[in-house]
Amino acid sequence: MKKFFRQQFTKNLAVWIMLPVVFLLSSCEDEVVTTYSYRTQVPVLLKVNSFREAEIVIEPAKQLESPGKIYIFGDFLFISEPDKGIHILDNTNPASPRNLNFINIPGTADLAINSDVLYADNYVDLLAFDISDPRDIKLIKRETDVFPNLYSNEETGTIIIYKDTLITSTEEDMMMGHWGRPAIRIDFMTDRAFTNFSSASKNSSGGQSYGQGGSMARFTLLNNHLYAVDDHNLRVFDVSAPADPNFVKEVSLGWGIETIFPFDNKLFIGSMTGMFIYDASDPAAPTQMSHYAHVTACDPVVVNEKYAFVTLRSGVACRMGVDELHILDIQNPYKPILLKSYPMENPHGLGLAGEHLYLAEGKFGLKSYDVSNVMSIIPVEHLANLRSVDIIPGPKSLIVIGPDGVCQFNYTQKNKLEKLSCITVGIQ
Amino acid sequence: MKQLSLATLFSLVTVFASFGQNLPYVNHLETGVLIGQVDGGDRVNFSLQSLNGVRINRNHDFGFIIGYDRYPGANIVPFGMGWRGTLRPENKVSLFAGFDLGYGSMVLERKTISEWNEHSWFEGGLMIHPTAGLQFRKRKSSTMTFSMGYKRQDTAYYVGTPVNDPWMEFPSPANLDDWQNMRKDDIILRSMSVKLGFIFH
Repeated sequence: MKKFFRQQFTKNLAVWIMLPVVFLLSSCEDEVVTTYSYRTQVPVLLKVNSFREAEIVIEPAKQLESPGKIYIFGDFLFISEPDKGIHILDNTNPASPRNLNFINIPGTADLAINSDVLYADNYVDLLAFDISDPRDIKLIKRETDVFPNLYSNEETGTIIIYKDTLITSTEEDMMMGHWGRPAIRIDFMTDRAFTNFSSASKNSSGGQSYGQGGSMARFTLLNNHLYAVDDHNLRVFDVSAPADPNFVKEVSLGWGIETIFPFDNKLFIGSMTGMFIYDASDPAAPTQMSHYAHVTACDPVVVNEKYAFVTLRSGVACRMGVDELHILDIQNPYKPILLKSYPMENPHGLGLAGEHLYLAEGKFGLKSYDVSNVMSIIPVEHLANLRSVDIIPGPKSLIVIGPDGVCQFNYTQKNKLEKLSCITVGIQ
Repeated sequence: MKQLSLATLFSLVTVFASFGQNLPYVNHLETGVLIGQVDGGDRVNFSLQSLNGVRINRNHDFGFIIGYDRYPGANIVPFGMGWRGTLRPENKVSLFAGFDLGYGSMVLERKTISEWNEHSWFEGGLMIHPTAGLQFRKRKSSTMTFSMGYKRQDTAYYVGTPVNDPWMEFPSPANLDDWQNMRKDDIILRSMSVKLGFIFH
């Protein structure tokens, strides 16, 4: 046996030398390299002069990327592209809308139209455009400093905006926060994608704006006044001379304001905490009539003479909400009464056309109900494949907005929606 | 994944090519431990492996390997191709060597989603395992082996929270855009293997 080993050893010297070398070269210690990446919003300081001095350019038509609010103006559609500008489409024939122009307005969130004048926000300013000829749009007024909550320093004219940024690092000091997870700027994480998927009126709609933070206004017009809501406040502008909007006052509303719906000299404001009803019979000084508080959820509102239809939906940003449609009796606006609630899947915007309620169910499609008897609404149709956020029952067509684009339907026949056209969202 | 497909392809080609030559079947079953260091402490992990292949000639075996390695925190199923060589098969005791190349798969590890929507999962990776030792011939059709080697296993561990996009059905692990935050640990497990085995043919 000894002889054997000696023989083997000398014959295979190379192997025996190599073996420990292999072990030595590669110490048997595990190696871990950690890469952290996270998405955050980096604050960017912007001088107001930089956008005030830059000309607002009317550009050739652009593809829709993430359509926000849609406004119907005669034969034209105005579709906002939050943070970027406004698309103008010729909708003379709803079966084939034509993309005309794009107004480049950085930092815009919403728009409203008042007899040939288009209002849009531009960071801290409100702009008024003459759109009497939508093919030849002119800027006619800039009302400055009316949305001052974006200011970081008003004296030096510096505003703060937030840019989405992906940060990747292998640095150990990224390991802040709990349980070794990277620290996240929760304070800048208010999800605009959710808060802007809101609203529900003829002239208000949701849309994705995965973009800059800061407060984005939502507009509506009533009795020669323009109302703009952001997360906390209602701002009133006198637009009795449409070309000359003037800031009147600011009303504080609490937090989580989402939508505003004007009806019959009243403003119905949907918030994360419930629905406010404001009396706007004195348009310059709206006063609160009531506050219908319910479980915290994201909730667009539509209204007719007797009833308010409120959707509550769950979602990460909507805090433990429920998915329901609430129907309220608002004949006494000082005391709204909940009549009935119906379970839904994930309701977003609503549209009311006579006795028919159209309801956007997010990724669950589009539903329509016969609501002639509010105590027992009847489901009529369900287009499960049409991912939708909001609905506008327009004079020519029912306009449905979703993440995939803007579709129009003929809804003269109430029990059967007939598809006219779809403008798809461009690949970014 | 590239490594996986290459390893699979190579082993399949080899095995089928070998079968075509009508070579005798061979099985090498091994069990033992993987000894390594993690965070300054030692770890000793159970390991089991089986090679199924053909005896190319009296010195060389070749085949498909599949195994089970129980590392702290994850159970890995390595598979790929392996070679076994014997220096003097006619002797009762002979020098013996092996080389395994393949992919360490995480099929046994489940992806978890926490209450706070935090997703965590493992990803497998390259496995290399050279060994050397002795073999002791017992009977004509069975041989015992004792070997020591070095095993390198690449893996990755991910912890992430998907972005808050209501339209996204499933966040893609490969697409960083789908994640609000993501931590990726690229792990290389280095062990000394000590194994006892039997070759049946």
